[in-house]
Formats: sequence, structure tokens, C-alpha cells
Amino acid sequence: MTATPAGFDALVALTTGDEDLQRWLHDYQLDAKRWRDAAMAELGAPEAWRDAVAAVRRHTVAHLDEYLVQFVDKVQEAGGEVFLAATATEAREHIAAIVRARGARRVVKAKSMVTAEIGLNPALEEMGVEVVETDLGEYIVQLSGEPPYHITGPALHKRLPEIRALFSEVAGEELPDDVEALAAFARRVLRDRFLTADVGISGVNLGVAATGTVVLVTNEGNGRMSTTLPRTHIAVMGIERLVPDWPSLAPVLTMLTRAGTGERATTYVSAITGPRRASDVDGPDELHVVIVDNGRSALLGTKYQNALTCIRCGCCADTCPVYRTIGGHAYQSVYSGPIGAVITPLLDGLDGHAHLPFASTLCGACDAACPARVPLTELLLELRSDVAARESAASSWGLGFRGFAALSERPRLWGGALAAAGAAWPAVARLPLQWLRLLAPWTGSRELPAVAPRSFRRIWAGGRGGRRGRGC
Amino acid sequence: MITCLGDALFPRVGLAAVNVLRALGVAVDFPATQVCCGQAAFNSGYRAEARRSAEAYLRAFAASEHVVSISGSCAAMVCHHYPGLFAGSALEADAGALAERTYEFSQFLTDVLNVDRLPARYDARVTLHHSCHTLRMLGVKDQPERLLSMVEGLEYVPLARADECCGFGGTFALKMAPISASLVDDKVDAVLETGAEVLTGLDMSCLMNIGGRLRRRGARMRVKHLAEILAEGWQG
Amino acid sequence: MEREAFVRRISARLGDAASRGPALEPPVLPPTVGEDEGLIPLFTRRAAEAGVAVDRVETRADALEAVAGLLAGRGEAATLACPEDLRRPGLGGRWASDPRMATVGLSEADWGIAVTGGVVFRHEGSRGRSCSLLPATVAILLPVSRLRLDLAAVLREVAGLPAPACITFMTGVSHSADIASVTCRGVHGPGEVVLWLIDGE
Repeated sequence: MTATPAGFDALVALTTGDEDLQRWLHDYQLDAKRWRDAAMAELGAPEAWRDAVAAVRRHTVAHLDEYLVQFVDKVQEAGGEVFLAATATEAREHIAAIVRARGARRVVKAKSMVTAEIGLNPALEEMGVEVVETDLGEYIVQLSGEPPYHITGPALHKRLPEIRALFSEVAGEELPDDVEALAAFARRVLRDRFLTADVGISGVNLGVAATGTVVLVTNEGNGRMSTTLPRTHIAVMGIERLVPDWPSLAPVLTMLTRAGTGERATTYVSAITGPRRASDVDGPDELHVVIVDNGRSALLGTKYQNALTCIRCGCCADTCPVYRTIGGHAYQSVYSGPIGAVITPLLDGLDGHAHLPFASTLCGACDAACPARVPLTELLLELRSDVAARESAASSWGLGFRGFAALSERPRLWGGALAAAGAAWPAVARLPLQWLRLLAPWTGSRELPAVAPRSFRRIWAGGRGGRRGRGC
Repeated sequence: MITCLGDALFPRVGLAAVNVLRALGVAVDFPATQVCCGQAAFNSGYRAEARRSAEAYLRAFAASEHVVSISGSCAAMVCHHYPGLFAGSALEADAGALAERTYEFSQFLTDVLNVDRLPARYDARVTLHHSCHTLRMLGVKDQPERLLSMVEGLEYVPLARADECCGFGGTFALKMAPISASLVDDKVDAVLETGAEVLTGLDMSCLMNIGGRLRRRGARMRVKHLAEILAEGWQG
Repeated sequence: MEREAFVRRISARLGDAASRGPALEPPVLPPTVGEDEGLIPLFTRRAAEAGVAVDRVETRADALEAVAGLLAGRGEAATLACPEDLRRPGLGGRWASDPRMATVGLSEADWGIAVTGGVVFRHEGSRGRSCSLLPATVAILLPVSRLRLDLAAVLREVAGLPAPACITFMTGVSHSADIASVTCRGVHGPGEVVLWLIDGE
């Protein structure tokens, strides 16, 4: 196994060493579970709904070329422009070109993880364009200069005093210590940005292939604002974020919200098909849909294909014991939590990310919750076998497992090893074992179990097991 | 299925399971060619090595009518992963067949032997840890609780946040030690909250993990596999 | 990348049609509410849970009178924005020419969804987006005959009509829990939503 990069260890230590944050994240997960469980229970048969979502998404991904062609045709029919970006660079450059061509000074953004993936904001800022994140959580981490902490809650880790300080700096004065006042401030500032922005850039939660519709969900209203007020709307989506038609949207949209935030519906769902029509009283004059591959198509036709069925609801992170212990930043990726551990090495390559699939106890909580039935644990195990296959023959874990496999094929040798270990243990146990590098990770926090003086097979062979007297 | 861990570190658990099964009228054998199910190698990405151990397991249990495991995670390895591990190979049918007749201990008692009564007494406050693999891959949840309810004198206290992982995760405990340590601490907090005298479970790897942390924190709590509770409490 | 090449990369990976799996069957989903749960009480309850003030009136005229009353209650300077076709003398005549400046925005919903307590607007022509988005208070008219059980029921009807530039599904009031996990309302969208169910239509 690859050693963890120093950045990972440091970021983990930052979170595990912060008792307040640990409690915060644990409480968040317990709350999220309560809401999610209630929202699922209300459906009566949540497993049937998960089956429906999985069926829609797997079918769509398995026929992605057909649905993409249909989607592109329909967007264009509705008067929208489509750009197909094979790489992050192509996407970034095309969007920058549109922004430049419009002479835009200010861009408002509704949440889009794929725009973070392609590094859009720095590219626009380099052009002298002001980029304003309007999702409240994204706005907060934009001000603090941090990456997002969670797929749907970018500022999950930020406590009230930190947010107050960030907003106060923008205000140029000390703002009150309460959430309502801070929200009101953000509303004022961002409203001005919405009304004066030249271009609105959004992500796409789901695209409807049959009609060329892009669907955006928000609770705040910034999705509607960003895609209604500016004259130009650029919607950026990954190639895989499609459903075939309006009816198939129902179970996917329903489960996105119920699993993701435990709500029946987000406050706003915008289903946008092309720019405004000539007779429409409002809406943007032009719509550009930028469809991004950036490594996704390489997963098709492989054992990783189902990783693309994710609908980015974020509930896997909400169930993950590792996520709550290490926090979102430790993944060192735009995508955190179990899906982050899966797609980051898949989209970006194993170099630098090979440790991520091992940052899991394989407890399966994510599998059990995922509304699209993404087989996360199975995907992590496949990634681990890919990592092992890349290793040099001299890797210590590899040698160890090969040796143990040989031992497991030789039961008499195994029995002998147990006998030797059982005999040696009393002496070994008296040594200060903490210095034994292999065991230090255990003994740092836990007592070691003892090697039994007589193994099970030795006892069995000696008298067929069993003990007379008390008990059985 | 005694498991490599059970063989080396916890023979009492295997013996307890054997004794309970015999007391219930089951003819029990221990095919001595069994060593390891291959779970640790498999979970670490070493599939070829895992297959070698697993093949030895297929041979060891070839003649067994039922295979009863004292480890839920090892039973889950066989039932959940063996079919995929041997898919497309000559041993595919054998692997599927072994998966069909392998059970975790408590599951075997309630679902195959249909035990609804136990002549057992154990005067203690007991809490139960549901191991993740046993819970989610085998779907075993009620079975140990039902068995505990059949034991006279045993006061069962449910564990809060029972579906949260104890942080063992096999080699994860060594490779990602700081994370593992934090998770086992959370689990120990929940265990101590119950005020129980005994912690039980179906998987010695989890119990070894939680027990090791309990002892380091100076807690005076006994840790026993479910089979040990039944064996120790058996009457007549 | 040029379209044919882009799509070809995907097709090559997916292989031929035979190996791709079956056509999509419509999902068989059991009902989420009891058969005898009436649409109106369910909608009213769920909308209230989402923070919407719901009132039921017999006629459109009654609803417009109530809107006028709401406006009057907001003071002398309060103005109303609404699409051309909803303007009636009964609405008090204090029109906002620009929805950005309006105190109250009035819209008529095309559908209501009982399971979520939400409403749906098909935005086309003069039925714009701004009246239900920009003012801090939003008023909605919803004829009872436009109530549907769930999202699936609405989407079946949506599918039978040409797609306008925008359809908005609105459930409750704008809110966020992004500030220290405390929920607050009216973050960007309206913080107050008032709805009249019109019996007669």
C-alpha cells in the first residue's frame, strides 16, 4: 500500500486534534441521519425508490452516447448553444472566451462542483473578472479562501464566530453575533451582485435528454437569481448527469433531496430549456451548455462504470465514519467523502491519490444509504486491487500477504507457527512492544490481545474440544 | 469455521461455539486444513493471494454440510465475496455452493436450528456491538438480540449509535491508525454509556479492537463473544 | 472537441447495443400516502410545514381581495408586481413597474403538489420568473383543480406540453443552514410565501 502523503496526515491530525470540530461533525451526522431516515420512511418503501433511481441512472449511463446526442440536439433546438469539452482546459478556455466576448466584469455563480474541478474561478479572476459565489456556503469558503468541505455543505466546518469575522471584513464593520443578521448581510451584498452581473454561471444537477432541459436545485434562491437576471447563462455539467425524460426525473429528483438533505423537496427547482423566448418578459438572452468529460468517459465499459451513476446528493459523506473523523479537506479534492475517495483517483489518476481508497473501514454505511445504489465499497475494493497491482514486488505488505497465503495453504506449518508463537508469547509480551514498528499503530492506543498458549487446533487435536463441568 | 484469528488468539471462542452446537444436538467437526478465508488480503487489494487462501478454504470445507463461523466478517467474506472472487474460474460452482451453506454462528442457531429457547443463565448487564460486515453484508441484526433475550438473568442494554463502525477495518487499524483510534474511542464512549458489565458481539476482530481500547482506558468491562456467554451460562 | 469525435469516444467505450442492458421500464413505486388522504388537506398541511401560509377561498375575486388586503397591510408605500393577465382593479392599483422594487409579487401557479406542498410555474410570455423571485413576499393563486398528488403526476402533464424556457418548482420559503448549521429564511429568494387555494376553479 502507498504511504499516505504528508498533506493527508497533517489534515487528518488537524481534525482529529480539534475536539470541538469532531463533536460538531459527529452531531451533524446524527442530525442528518435523523432527517434522512424520516424523509425515507415517509416514502413507505424507500428500497423501491432506490431501485428506481439506480435503474434510471444505470440505464442512462449505459446508453450515454444516445442520450447525449439527444440532449445536445434538443438544447440547440430550444435556442441554446452547446460546447463539448473533452478536457478541463477546453471547458475553462471556452467559458473564459464567452465571458471575454461579452465584456463581462462580474460573474455570479450558483453552486457547481464541476467548475471547481476544472479550475474555472482562478482562470476568470486572472482575466480581471470578479467572480462571486452566491451559494451561501460557497460564498463563505470563497471569502476564507478554502476548498469546499462537503458536496452539498461547502462551509460545514465553519462555526459562527469565523463566519461573523469573514462577513464583518467585507462589511468594513463589526456585524452582530447572530445568524439572521449575518444572513441578511449576505442577502444584501449578493442581491446587488445578482442585479449587476453580466454573466451567470451554474452547474447542472440533472439534464433531461428528451427535452434538452437543465435542472438546478437550491434552497436559497441563488440558482434562480443567477439564471434569471444576468443576460448570459452558462450551465456547466459532467457528461454523465442525464436522465432520459421528464417521468424518469421524478424518482431521481425526489431521492436527491430526501437522501441529501432529508427534505421532501428543495425550495427551488429550475428546469431551464434554452434561453428566453422572444415573447418572454424575463430570462437570459442566451444559454450556453458546456458538457465536460475530463476523464469520465474513460470509466465507461470498465468495472468503474457505475461510479458515474452518482447524483451528487452528498449522503455518503453524511454516513461515513471516516469523513466525520478526518473532515472534508483531508480528501484534498473537490469531491469528499466516499464518492470523493472513489472518483478522485479515477478522474485524476492514482498518483497522489492512491491512499484515498484505503481511507475506509469498508463498513458499508455509504452503500446502505446511497439513493442511486452506487456500489461504493465494491469500487473502493477494486481501486485497492489496482493500487496493489502497481506496487513493486518488494512492497512489505505484498510480501507479507504472499507469505501468509503460502502459510494458509500449509495447515501443518501453520499449526507449527501457532505453537511457536504460543510458546514465545509470554516472553515477548514482557518486552516494550511499542517500538515494534508494525504494531505501534495498534499499541499507541490499544492493549494487545494475547497469543493463546494452545491454539484451537492444538486443543481440538488433543481431545476433540469440550470441557466438562460448569457450562458446556 | 474457526478463523485464523480465532485459532491463534481466541480458541476459547471456538471451543464455546463447538460446545453450544453440540449441546444443541449438532454433530460438529473441525476440518484441520482450514486456515484463513483470505479476507485481509482481499480487503488490501491482494486478490491473487486472497484466492490462494480461499481455494484452501474451498477444499477444507468441501465435505461439510454446513459451515458455521465464529466471525461474522469471515462468513461475509465467503458469502458475499467468494462468488465474485471465483467468477469465470473452474471453482465458480464450488465457491457458490460454499457461500450457500456458510453461516455466522448466531444466524445458524436462529435461522437453521430454529432455536427459540436456551437452557442458559447469565446474571449480568450485557450490551451488544453489531459488527458492520455482519450487519450489512450478512443482514444479521435480530439474531444475536433474540438469543440474548433467551438467556435467564441477562439484562440486555442496547448500544447507542449501534450502526457506527468501531474503526477496526482490518489493516485499516494499522494503516490509518489515527482515524481508527478516534473511531474506537467514540465506540468505547457509547459502550461505557450503557453501564453494562459485559460487551458481547459476533466478531472477535471488532471485540479485540474495542476491548483493547477499553483496557487501555482502564475500564473494568468483560468482553465475550456471544458463544462464550451461551457456553458459560449453559445449564444441564 | 468536435461533436462526432466527442460522442465516438463514448460509444467506443460502451460497445454495441446488445451488450448494454435492457430498455428502461417505468418504475413501480407504491403510493406514499393513504388512498383516503384528500389532496387539499394534504397539500395544506405539507405547505404549512414548508413555511407557507395557506388560505382557502371560494372565488378568484375573493383571493384578489385578500391580496389587496395583504398589500394594504404593508403600508402606504407598498407595491405589487404581477403578470399582466393577473392585474385587476380589485388589486389596489399600487403597481410596481419593476418586480425588483415591489413589496409583494403575485403569481398564479400552474400546478400544486400535495406530497411536498409545493407549486409549479411554467414561465412563458408575460408569466415571468421575477414576480415569484425578487420581492421579499410572494403571493400565489392556486385553483384547487390544479392540485396533483406528487411530482410524478405533474411531470406526466409537463411532458405533454412544449417545454418553456423555464419551469420553476417552488416548495416553501427560501432558506439555508450554511451559517453554522442554523436554518434561516429569506436568504436570496422570498422569505415569506402566502398562498390562496381557489375552490371555484
